[in-house]
Amino acid sequence: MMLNELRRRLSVDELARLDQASMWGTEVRWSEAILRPDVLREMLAKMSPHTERLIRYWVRSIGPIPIQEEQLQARCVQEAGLAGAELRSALRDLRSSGVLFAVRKSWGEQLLFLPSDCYLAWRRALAASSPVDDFIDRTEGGMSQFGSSEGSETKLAFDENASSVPLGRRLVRAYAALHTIGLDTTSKGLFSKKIAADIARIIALRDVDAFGRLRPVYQEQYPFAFSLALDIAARLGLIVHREGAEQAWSWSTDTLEGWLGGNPFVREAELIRLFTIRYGFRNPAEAALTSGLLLLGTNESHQMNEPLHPFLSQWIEALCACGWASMTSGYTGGWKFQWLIDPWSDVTGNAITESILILPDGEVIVPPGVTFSVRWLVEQAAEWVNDDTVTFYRITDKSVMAAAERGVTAKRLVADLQHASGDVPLPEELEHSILHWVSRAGRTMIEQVMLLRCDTKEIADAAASREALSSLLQERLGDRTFIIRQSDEVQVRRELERAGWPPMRQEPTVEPEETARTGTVNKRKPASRRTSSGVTVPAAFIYDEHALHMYELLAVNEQLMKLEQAGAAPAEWPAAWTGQLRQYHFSTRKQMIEQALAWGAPLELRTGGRLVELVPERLDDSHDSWSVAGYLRSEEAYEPVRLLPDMWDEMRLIIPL
Amino acid sequence: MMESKGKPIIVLSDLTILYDERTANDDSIRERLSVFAELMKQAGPLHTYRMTHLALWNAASLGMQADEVIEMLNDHARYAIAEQVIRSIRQIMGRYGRLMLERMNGEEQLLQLRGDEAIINDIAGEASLNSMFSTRVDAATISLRTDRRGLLKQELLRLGYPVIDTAGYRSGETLSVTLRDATRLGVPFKLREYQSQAVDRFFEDSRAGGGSGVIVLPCGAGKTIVGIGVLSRLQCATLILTSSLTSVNQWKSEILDKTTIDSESIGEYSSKQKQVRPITIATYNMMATSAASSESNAVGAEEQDYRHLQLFGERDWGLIIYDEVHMLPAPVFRMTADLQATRRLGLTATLVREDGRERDVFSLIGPKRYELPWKQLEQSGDIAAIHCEEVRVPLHDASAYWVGNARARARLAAENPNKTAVVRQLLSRHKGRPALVIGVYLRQLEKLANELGAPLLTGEVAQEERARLYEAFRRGEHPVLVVSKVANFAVDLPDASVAVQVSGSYGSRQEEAQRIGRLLRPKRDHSEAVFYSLVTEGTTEVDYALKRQRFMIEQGYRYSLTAAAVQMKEEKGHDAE
Repeated sequence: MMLNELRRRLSVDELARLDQASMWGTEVRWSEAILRPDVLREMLAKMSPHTERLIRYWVRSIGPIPIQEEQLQARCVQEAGLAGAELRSALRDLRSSGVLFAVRKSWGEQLLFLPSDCYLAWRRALAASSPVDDFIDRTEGGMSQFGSSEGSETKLAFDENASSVPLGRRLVRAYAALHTIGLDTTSKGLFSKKIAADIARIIALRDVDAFGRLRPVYQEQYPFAFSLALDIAARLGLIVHREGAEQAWSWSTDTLEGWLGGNPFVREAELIRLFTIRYGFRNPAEAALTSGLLLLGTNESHQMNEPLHPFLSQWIEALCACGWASMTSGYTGGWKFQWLIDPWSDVTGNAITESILILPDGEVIVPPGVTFSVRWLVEQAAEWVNDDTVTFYRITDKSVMAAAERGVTAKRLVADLQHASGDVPLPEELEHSILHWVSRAGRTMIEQVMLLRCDTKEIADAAASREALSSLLQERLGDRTFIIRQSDEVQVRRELERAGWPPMRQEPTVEPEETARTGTVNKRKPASRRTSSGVTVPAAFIYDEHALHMYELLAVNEQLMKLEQAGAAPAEWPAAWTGQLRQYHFSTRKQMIEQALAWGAPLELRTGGRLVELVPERLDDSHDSWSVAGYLRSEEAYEPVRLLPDMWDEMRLIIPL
Repeated sequence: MMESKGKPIIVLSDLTILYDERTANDDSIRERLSVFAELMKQAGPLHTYRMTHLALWNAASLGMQADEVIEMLNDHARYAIAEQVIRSIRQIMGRYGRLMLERMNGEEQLLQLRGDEAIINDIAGEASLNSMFSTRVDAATISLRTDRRGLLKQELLRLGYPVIDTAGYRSGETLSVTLRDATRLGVPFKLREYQSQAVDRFFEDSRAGGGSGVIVLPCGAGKTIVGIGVLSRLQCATLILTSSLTSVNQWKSEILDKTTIDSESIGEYSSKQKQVRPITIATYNMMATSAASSESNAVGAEEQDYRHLQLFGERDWGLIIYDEVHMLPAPVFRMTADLQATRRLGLTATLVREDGRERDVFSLIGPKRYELPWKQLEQSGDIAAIHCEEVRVPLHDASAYWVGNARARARLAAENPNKTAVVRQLLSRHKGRPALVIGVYLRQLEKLANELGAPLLTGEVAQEERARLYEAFRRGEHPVLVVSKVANFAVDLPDASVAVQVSGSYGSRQEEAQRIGRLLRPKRDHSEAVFYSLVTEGTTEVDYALKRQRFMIEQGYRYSLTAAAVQMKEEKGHDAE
């Protein structure tokens, strides 16, 4: 689940509480801060040690994948280096500050999660000073999490000559085509095979192994590229599903306009991140690798030595297929990975400066820096020719006449194209061509009209001569029939009644004009699917194995109360146990450890003159002795240990704050 | 996508280069680009070049290195150049010069192929080359059969290995030729600067076989004069092959006009006469005419007897000039493969061949030695600047037009009677300047000729009468000449300053180019030539005109547009003044 989706589901009160939460400071609101690595780093410095430990562990080992609380508890001592009470305290901190969230499945099981885009922000916040080293560490870590990496010995083979047209550009073309074709579906609610094939052809997505790992909902019906295009459109909110409506899908005008209007490099960067989140976060290890790639700098190439883990190799191949990255064989062996689009591009870094260039022969050159909305416009006016560093279109008689048939006037077309080319006037030759082509279109038209039929020619003549009526009669057809405007029907009826010729109430022989054509942009508020439990479900065309939108989002307050209750130290504990370090009898030591284990507290021990922290895991009791197994914790290390009662001098229980 | 703002070059992954002159209208960049890339298109401010294999090898033959090409592109590229492009340039250019064809021990009759051991090993195993090799001299050398010199180069190029041919040429029969200081009519004459440069380039780089190659110059730039320049430098018997009979005559008259050679030394080898003299001019058609083609179609092409090809061996030619080399027919290619010891000069306005045999031109005639785009020549005044204007004429009889079928409509639009008045008014704008009225429909042209009181020149007009009309036109006795399709091909058609196209062959792109070509010769008063194209408004003729114009626009020409009704009004106002 991503932050936006989550925000839509949080109550107003909860949103207000988070936005005013003190830990984010006064300058930035929570919803902004939680995605900003610099703010997260500041927040990290303010965290308690165990909260910091938990978030670091979370980002490293759990990532954006939901986890059951029990599972987390079971892993926290061994893996996170946290005692139970510390975990509860850290969870309370992270939950109340809007870092972690929880949902409840219908049978009561709870899942904790870090929103996917927040995970990316944390990855950036926690990245080592050298992201490359960090990535390599992760890669190795990731590989070990995959277990055996049998395929890693396979010689890598990337298609170095593959097209590097960014997916966003291709999607604009695909959506523009889909917009023109319309979102009509068959009686089964599916798009026709032809539409699916046409759109897939436009996207021209190379078939790579990484896509084979994904599970499209309509795997049998649609080519993968079409599923991907629809999945992204639905995820971006460009198309919305209307339950129960005759036409299931429609465009969301506002969202579409917003998406088209942004900086194209920012849009591509958003797509890269969405792509990574949607299709590259199947498990923590994959998430670590895919998000790790996003940390690599964009202005340089990164040496990737073989063997590369098969998943990483597949994922890079997918990024290359989407035109976002390249993988080239290095002159000194190995491979070089390079981002072709900065995955973190922002508006300030890439101001829009480019305009299209229209040549007198009708060729249109679209540089990479023009907005998607300009591309959309060109798609409506010209035929696509080729995509490379720049995109080539050609304004032809067909493309202009098609635009004219959609109701675009020559004046509008010329003005729009001129605006898109930075207000440079169109070449004179081309402008004249456009005027000529538009004049060829629409010489005939088929339209539905409303007719007034009169009984006799005499009545028709009389109607035409009545002052009040004549202006409402648009055109006479033969002796007895007139065309009238649909909007004038009521007035015409009234005038006919006044004239003594009340019209018959008869079903129209011609269907009234359709008011809402399918497949056209409408301003209707996007509806969404709802589950039986009433939870909003965004439509998906590729299964999300970790979809959380089906479940009930737990209110933070309720959850926190539970955690608060567990947070207080048991009342029966003597104050001395948690106060200063003291020497205790072995039996008291054992009792204290039992209490620590029961409550989940760590211990502080003095041994050999130095202080250490022990996170106890279990007490091993035998007939003549006992020992405690756990982990010795310091800033540098976290190592397993078994201690006999005589191996430390003083001790105390630590209550996590 | 990294962008370097303000830089003029965009390099595409298919080795296409876009040069945006809005950013930097820098001739030196364009000149450098044309060394390693072919200019494909020049529409508006964007020039489209392509780094073909041949273009890159041509650059390599001039001594350019891959790194220089890459550096030049990097210096001026607006967006980062794809790694694959850089790799391709290195790979393609790296192949040039790896194989050398040379004389063995200085002996003219003994040739050897020498090069990288690895490549020699590769090609030694090629079945298609076996018959051309004699013996393996050492690891890096193979001796050859001398009669396979051309075929070997062709085949190696097909395999991706351009060969540097340093085996040299024979001198041929000596012929004393001197360029005149003034033409026979007394007009001062010398080669223009770019023509001299082109001649010099032909002889440069003796290592790479200077003395064979192709000169690329636009129509009207005087390719014939360059050929004569080379001929006068070599002083040898020369065979000139050209595209048509009229072209044969043009060559002959130019040689007589610009050199000291007498007419007895120039022979014409055509269907009319078969003269073989120290300078012999023949047509490609003649060379490609086989006994079989005139006798029986049953004989396979391979077995055809191209009896006129014997002309190649009839004298000891020191130079063969291939005029319009992009039109060179297959039999002449085959013959040329056997003539690699003779110097060869190709002349053309474009290296692009309809049949895609550019590689054969490269390996058999030679690499491109010199090129100059027409725009540069226009700027320097070496060819005339041309103003192209489309004039829209109202349809005369709309009802008749709409009831006809497509063909009838096209005809009605082309022969629109309203055009006559417009022609008259346009010509009145340019009184005193020689003007051609060009069309395709005889009925229309006859009517126009009558209305304008101008002579009509069609294919039916006898040669003598034609010559008389030309002369009268030159002298200004007939300021206007109405001409049919004959104007598309007649090389001897006198120079004009104004052309009014009243009808065309549907969307024939070549036709409009040829008609505009009629106006390219520089004017004595350095004035701009004017080309009018009359098109009937709202008819299919507009579509045909747009198609023809698109081709011209891609060559860099621009068209303005006027509506005839407005224009007529303006003219009236003009007259009133």
